Amino acid sequence: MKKSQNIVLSAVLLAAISSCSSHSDEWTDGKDSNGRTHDTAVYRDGSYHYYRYYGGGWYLLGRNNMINRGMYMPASGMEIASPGFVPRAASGGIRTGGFGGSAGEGGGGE
Amino acid sequence: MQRHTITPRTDWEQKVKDQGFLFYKNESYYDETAAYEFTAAEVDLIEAATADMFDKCCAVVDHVIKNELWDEFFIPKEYADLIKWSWIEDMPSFYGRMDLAYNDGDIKLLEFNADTPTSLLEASVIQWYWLQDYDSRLDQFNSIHEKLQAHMGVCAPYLYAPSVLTFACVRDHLEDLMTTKYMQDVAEQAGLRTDFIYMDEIGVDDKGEFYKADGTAIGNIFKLYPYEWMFHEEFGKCLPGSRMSTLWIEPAYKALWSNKMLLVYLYKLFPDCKYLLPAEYSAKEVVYRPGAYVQKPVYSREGANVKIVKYGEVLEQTGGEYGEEGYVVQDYAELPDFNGNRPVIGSWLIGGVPAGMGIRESKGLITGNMSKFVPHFFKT
Repeated sequence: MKKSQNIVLSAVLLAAISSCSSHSDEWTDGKDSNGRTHDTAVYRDGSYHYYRYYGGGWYLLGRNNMINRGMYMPASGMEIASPGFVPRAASGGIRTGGFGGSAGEGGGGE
Repeated sequence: MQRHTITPRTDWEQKVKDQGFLFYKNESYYDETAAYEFTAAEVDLIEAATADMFDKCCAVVDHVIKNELWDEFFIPKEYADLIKWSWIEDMPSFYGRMDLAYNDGDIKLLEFNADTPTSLLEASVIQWYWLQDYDSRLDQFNSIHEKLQAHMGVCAPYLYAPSVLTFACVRDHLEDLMTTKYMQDVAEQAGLRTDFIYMDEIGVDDKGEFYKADGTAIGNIFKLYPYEWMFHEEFGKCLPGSRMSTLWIEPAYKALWSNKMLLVYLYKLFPDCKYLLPAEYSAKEVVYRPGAYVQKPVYSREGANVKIVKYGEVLEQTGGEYGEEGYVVQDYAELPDFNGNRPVIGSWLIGGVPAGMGIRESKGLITGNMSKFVPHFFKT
């Protein structure tokens, strides 16, 4: 016999199944009232970093072409142009957002 | 191997959804109107070939480390020690999937998705439940679920304190989410304490240690996110320095196996292995090469930027944005053709042990994200 004797699916997967249809997150496209976005690219530390202006400050632009206001504090134009600038996390002293930016539509699995 | 046309279960859609297969409609990804039948001898052959090739993949890692072939594998040097350490210390690994061409008893390795393989839920769970309904007396090369659960239990004592295993994947990708949630579900059943975050919620402090945004240290983390991306992202530089405080699954040496240069070095080291296709590196796109070959970028995903050429004529090619690091050119292995359906076997390893297979078939020659998952069985 080369098949599993039994397969039980438990609470973690079942909870994910029920929550997925109502799944939402904190990302926003950052469009202004005219439906436009204002983006800039800053060359810093050997590579380009992309930002979108929204609600009075610049936010790091994700690969999904959206920004996450729950994750980062807005930065000024001078700040994003400064060498060594890193976005401030919206919560506490822990900085997030340093992984996940490379994923496109295909996700991380294959 | 035979392909049978079968009648789908009347309530199959609800059943697969109830089993977590919420992404079955992606480009009509799941097909229950057909099933593949194997003989027990064929299954034994696939199992043995998978085990043999896994041993050879291990030999390639030894060879890369011994000869410091980081440049050849396009691995940034700052990660060499981390990769070496993860290999020497035999850091926990859960799974991997070898994609095989199977044609009338002839098996060829197409590639090894060792770092972030998906199509796991459908191979492990969905086709197993399908077989229970179709004919539970039949067998299937699929003990993925129970091997995964047992292996996670074996790995548990090696987790760092606090021994919570965090599961992570990207946002807004249902297939990745459900695959990761399935892994987490199995881990819970294996007795591990788990939680879940998205990749962009992984945080670091000013010392470069990994935390969740609420300040909880990340001791152990399974990530459905490839090292080839992590190495070039902002927090990648924190990986080597934090290796004694955060244990990453899959381990860093998987960056060598999920890299197409593996195929070149497998062939270099084992040119007489019957499961391996001749493969070489080319810095630029190949202009001419005799015979039939497949050109794949060193780093490419889901069949992107792949070109199949036969006697100078391009048979098929896919678009994408890969190829910067050059290409691996591999002899072309003919896939069997069942009325225009060409199956590729995904042979699963759990903890380095062959554990089962899932079949994806395509209308074209390249198996990508448009291929369909089709269940299988064999008679004992």
